[in-house]
Amino acid sequence: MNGTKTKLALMGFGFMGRIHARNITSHPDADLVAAFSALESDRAEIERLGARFYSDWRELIADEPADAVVVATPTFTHGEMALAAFDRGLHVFLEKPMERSSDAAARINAAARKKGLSLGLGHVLRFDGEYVAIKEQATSGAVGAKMARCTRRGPPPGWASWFLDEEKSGTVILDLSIHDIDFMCWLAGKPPAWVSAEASPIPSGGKPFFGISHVVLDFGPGDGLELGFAEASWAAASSYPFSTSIEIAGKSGLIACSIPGKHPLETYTASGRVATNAYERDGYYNEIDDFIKSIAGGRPPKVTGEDGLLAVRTCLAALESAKRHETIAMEGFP
Amino acid sequence: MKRVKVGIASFAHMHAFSYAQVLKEMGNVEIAGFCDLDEARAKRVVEEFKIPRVPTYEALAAQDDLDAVLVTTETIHHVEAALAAMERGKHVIVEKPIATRLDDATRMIDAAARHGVKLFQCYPCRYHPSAQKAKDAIASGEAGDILGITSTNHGRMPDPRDPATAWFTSRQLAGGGAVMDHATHAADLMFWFTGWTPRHVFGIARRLFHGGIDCDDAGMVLVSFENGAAASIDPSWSRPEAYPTWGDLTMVVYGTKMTIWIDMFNQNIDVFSGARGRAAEWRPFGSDANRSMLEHYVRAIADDLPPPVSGGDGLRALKVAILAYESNDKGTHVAW
Repeated sequence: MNGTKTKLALMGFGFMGRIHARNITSHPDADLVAAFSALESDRAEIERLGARFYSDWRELIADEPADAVVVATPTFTHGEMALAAFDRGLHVFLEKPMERSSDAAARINAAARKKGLSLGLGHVLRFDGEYVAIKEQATSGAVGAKMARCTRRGPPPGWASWFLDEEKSGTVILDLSIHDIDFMCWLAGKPPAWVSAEASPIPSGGKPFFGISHVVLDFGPGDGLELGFAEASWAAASSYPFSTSIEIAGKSGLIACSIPGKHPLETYTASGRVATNAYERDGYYNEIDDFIKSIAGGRPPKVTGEDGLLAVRTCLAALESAKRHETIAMEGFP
Repeated sequence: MKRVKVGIASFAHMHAFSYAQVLKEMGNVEIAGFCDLDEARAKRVVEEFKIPRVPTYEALAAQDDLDAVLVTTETIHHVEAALAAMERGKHVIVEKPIATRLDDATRMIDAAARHGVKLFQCYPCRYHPSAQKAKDAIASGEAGDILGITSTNHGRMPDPRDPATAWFTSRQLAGGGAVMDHATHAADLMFWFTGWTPRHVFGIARRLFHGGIDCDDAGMVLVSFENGAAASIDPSWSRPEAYPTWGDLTMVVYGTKMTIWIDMFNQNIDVFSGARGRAAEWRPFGSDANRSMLEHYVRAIADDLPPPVSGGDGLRALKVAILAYESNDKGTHVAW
């Protein structure tokens, strides 16, 4: 890059797209040069950020002189966009899940390898202060970690309808529980041997849709993590704050963290409560920062395409298990 | 209210001590005697409660004016102590889980019917104010349709070197380990809240944390129900010695109109005394579910009412644990 800033283009300007836009524009080594949104109503906001507005993502990839794209569109569109971007020689950062199917995710990996381009993945827990600290403690031998238990709960995502469509999102397992499932695979340092799950449908306004899931990952015997459990829910009442928890139990102790949890600063006004963290940068900033550094430094991002593919495969195995009420062996599962 | 005379079959389960204390303090209850096959423990009971000791479960149950026997033996002996009482026309209040095997539980239920006596199953969590309020919200429809449940019943591992708790870690005497000990509490609450019938059970039961025991100390149980809903139970003995309390019972119940979050033992004060190497200890206060439960059971005996928690309820909760072990052995989900 020779001291010049990395030029990033954003695909999608929804909930996650706006978070990425904020972090890219505040990053000292990056420029947000363009953004795609299917909504004309986003044009003004995108232009205020100093970025060119595209209503057609193919045009953006064809015309925009960018170094990389950050893809924050619905899951099932990731592959098409990533392949087109790699084809034009652009590095790609993909929101999680990498894709809706293992095949599509594998095609993305093959294209990145073939072109020698960076592929970043938004498995944000690996960049979050709390979870990085958990990982450090869990792998330090402090408690002899054997079993992990994760929960992730909130009201249904009301901002877009595709989330509650299994064909598009892959249910709460692939969209939400994937965070914890990826994190536990990272903790174990290997794929699970067996996956078992059960799930409840929630009202979706359409076809039956798994909105509460219970996933058990069996990593098998060994020195490290053997058993993982993840509950994810989009069935909480609207007043229930989005919350997560993780516990690592081991031979000699327990590590635990909940969010919302402890804060060094809380302010209260007539309009509500604001809790402030001690860190200046959150996981969303850190993951984009890592991606930018991987492009500039010619090194792979911290989360690899293989990690992303494993997370997708494990979630799809869990979905299959919940439908068949059978334990699924990961070996041989597509 | 009519006076109720109770005998206690063994203090092997430490709950017998708290139950005996509650019974002693109830105005209309008399503890007629107890049987305990362990000499040292029997001595302690005589000193602590000043109640007469009888040599056998049969002799305990043979007392003519006895109304009921509280069975708090090691779980494997529930069936023999309960049958000895029921065959002599006495009601039985049995500690959970009802038995170590499904056929033993069925024998107890059948004996109660045959001898026209009541079989009460101890599930004190139902009597905790948090569970009572949750049940009210669900039963009244205020919570809407229930979609799913996530629960934990964590604990420290019962100390295998302490004679008072050692048998809990014996697969033979307790019928299993953490899954048998803890999954049944959460399962019973789940059934009581929803009335759902399971379709499949998945279980993992492992020894992950502790040495010197022959049973599981960690596990996960998943249950799918006939209506398509699912639930999970984490029964692990995953609280370390350093943990500020013995464990937890938590439950999230997702209703279409209400999310219910139960953290049953999350009412306590912090004590930082350095006791037993713990940074803090949580000392509970407030209501006593054991007392509420036993008062209700004694009233049902005095007024000849059906058991609020029956042998059938005990069997159903036990089946979750038994099938979880079966699933663990088979390596996949098993049919209910």
